[in-house]
Amino acid sequence: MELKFTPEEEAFRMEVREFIEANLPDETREHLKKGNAPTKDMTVQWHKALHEKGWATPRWPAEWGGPGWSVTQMYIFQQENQRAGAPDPQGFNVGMIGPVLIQFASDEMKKKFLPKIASLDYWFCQGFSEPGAGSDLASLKTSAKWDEEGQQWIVNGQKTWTTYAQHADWIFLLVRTSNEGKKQEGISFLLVDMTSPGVEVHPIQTMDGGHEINSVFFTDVKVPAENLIGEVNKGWTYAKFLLGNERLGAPRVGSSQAKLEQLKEIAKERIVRGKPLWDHPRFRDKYVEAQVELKALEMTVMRVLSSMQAGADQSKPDPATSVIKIKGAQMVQRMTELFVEMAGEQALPWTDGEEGDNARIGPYWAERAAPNYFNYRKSSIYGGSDQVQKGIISKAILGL
Amino acid sequence: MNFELSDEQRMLSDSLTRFLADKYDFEKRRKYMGLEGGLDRDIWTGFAELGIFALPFSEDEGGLGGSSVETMIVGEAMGRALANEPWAEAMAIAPALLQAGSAEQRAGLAEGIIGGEIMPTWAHLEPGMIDRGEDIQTAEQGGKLSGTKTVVTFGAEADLIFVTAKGADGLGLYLVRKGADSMEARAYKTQDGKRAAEITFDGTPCEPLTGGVSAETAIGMAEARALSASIAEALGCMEVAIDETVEYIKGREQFGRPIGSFQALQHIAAGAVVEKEQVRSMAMYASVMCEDEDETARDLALSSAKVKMCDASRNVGQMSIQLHGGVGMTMEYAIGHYFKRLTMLEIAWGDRDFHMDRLCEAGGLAA
Repeated sequence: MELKFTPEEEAFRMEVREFIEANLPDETREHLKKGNAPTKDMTVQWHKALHEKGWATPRWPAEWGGPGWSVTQMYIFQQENQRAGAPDPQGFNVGMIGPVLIQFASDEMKKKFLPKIASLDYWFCQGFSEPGAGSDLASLKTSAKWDEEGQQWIVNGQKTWTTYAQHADWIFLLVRTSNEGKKQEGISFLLVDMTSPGVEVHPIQTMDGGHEINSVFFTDVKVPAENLIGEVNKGWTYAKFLLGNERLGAPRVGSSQAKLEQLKEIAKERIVRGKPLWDHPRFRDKYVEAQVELKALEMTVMRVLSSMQAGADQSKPDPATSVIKIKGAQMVQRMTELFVEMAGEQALPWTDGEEGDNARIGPYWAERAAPNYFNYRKSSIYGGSDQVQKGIISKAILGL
Repeated sequence: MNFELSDEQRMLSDSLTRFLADKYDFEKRRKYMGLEGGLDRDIWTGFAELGIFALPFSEDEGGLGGSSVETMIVGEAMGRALANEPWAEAMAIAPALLQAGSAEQRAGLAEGIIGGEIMPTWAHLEPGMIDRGEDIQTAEQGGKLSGTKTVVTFGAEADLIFVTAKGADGLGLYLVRKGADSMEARAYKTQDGKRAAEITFDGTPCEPLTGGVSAETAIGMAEARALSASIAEALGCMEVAIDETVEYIKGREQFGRPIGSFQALQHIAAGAVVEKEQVRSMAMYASVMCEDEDETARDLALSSAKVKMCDASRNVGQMSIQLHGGVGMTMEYAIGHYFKRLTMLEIAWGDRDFHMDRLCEAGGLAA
């Protein structure tokens, strides 16, 4: 067992840090430091810069353009990128559909899609949830019927909570292709061009005022036969693999570490009842407790990555990813609570849009404090809610 | 970065687990607790024959030159078995305290500890010291100790007592043999099935540990390693507490079905797994960090691990009793004994408040 990084790994960390320092646009850095989500342009610019460097797809095999990093290097890269306050590489492409194609798709399909997924020339969004299929995802109804004459699939139905569908060129869809047998056994995995006739995107405004998520409607959408991944009715297997990957990416440890650092920096300057907030014992307690929990999470993430490196079977989801998902969501949410508590009354003013157009009354970080707190309630709901994760732990680990 | 155990470490874990399964099931444990002194020396000899006491000592001292990772592995297994013996005193504390001694002192005592002939303990805390940072009153003068020590683990049974006391040159460490003159040990049982003693020294002859690192340094090392070992021990307890609870709710029927089929109970158990896994991570972190040369980084890392362990111990311990229902309240069932051990481990080596204070005063862990 060894937790320390080797001199080579430390050198790699410096290389990553210097690259980010030299290439991340100030505008992006400032925008994110205020607590904003990156704009589409910001994500695209940074993703492409990383891609050019060969760093946008750290976990992909070298054959498909991965950098051939060790697990430790992947961890260092992710941590540095998040701590620098840079946008993540586009997650639906890199962490979800890419790995599914690599694991399960035909060579032809890989060649057609993977390079453009890696470069973000195709922006993918995720079409899983439906109005009637949330935690019970397998009850989904969006159908794909085989059109013998046209040798194509005809898709009808509605997906919802589709993040950044408004930016997307493609959507990966879970569709019902059979009503026989168990509901999990009639699901297939399709790639659909968002410009296809019959695809309609309707925005959903979230309570923080933002527009991240959408409803996507499909009316007699024609999808070529070759856009089906793997085998018909095997989509559930691919989806479970994808969700395992999603959970592993969920904790955003580096980002929470950066938030803690920022919190401390601000608390030292912020005078509350006559002394810096940092010197208030109740604040210090909350800060330290969050830090302890985050350290434990960091170690858990490293432990899972290390077992992957040691050759654990990667085609099956590891139940430990459920632990990571629950704790990761909790930490992200805890950070947002601490910012609201630190802002006090300065968290009150509502501003429209991503850059405030109302007069800002508080410091630069206060404007997004409350909206982020509201917005990040999502993290214990998406990717399998806390309760779904506990169900997985009960069944897969405890055998209950 | 690598969290995997080596083949040798896996073998250690397997052989100790087999030994404990054979010699230390719940019924046998009950028998040992009823013996005079609360333990069976054959078990202690068995531990020595497995080589576990040789692990932490350097090769110069006749040991195997292992690290605190081995101590963690042993601690987890001992926690699973609810072992009562002062294994941590032998594996974690004695090797660290002996660093204050000369090469001869180290080699001489290491041999006896490794072979199982010497069962050591540490007389450190004093009555009224509810915080570990308070002043030591026990004093050494002219080779004789005076003062009182409290809750010394197996203080009446141990062959060798390490004593923290103030000497002419400040804080020092001293050795006292079992049955030394002018020493009174008032022995009693502990809440979690061990034995301990209040020891009064009244001009007790002692041997100073000198020629090595300072007493402060050795004490800091001993406390760090003991804390790390106790976190691993708590992890072992939590694993079994969860396993026992899950087995119980699978078998217990109410309302015509196993109560483990109720989601309310499943989610409580799953929540305990989440906490326990976080402790496993922290046990690993602690075992590596407890040997860090930077003492501040070491102590803060250990404090963070302890805070997590305290929260999880309480969660897992309480939920285990709750899900067992009435039978969880009985002396007969094992689960109550795990709960009691977990509760005592929360207190050992600085409670949650002590470690929160240490972290808060330092402004948290280093970034």
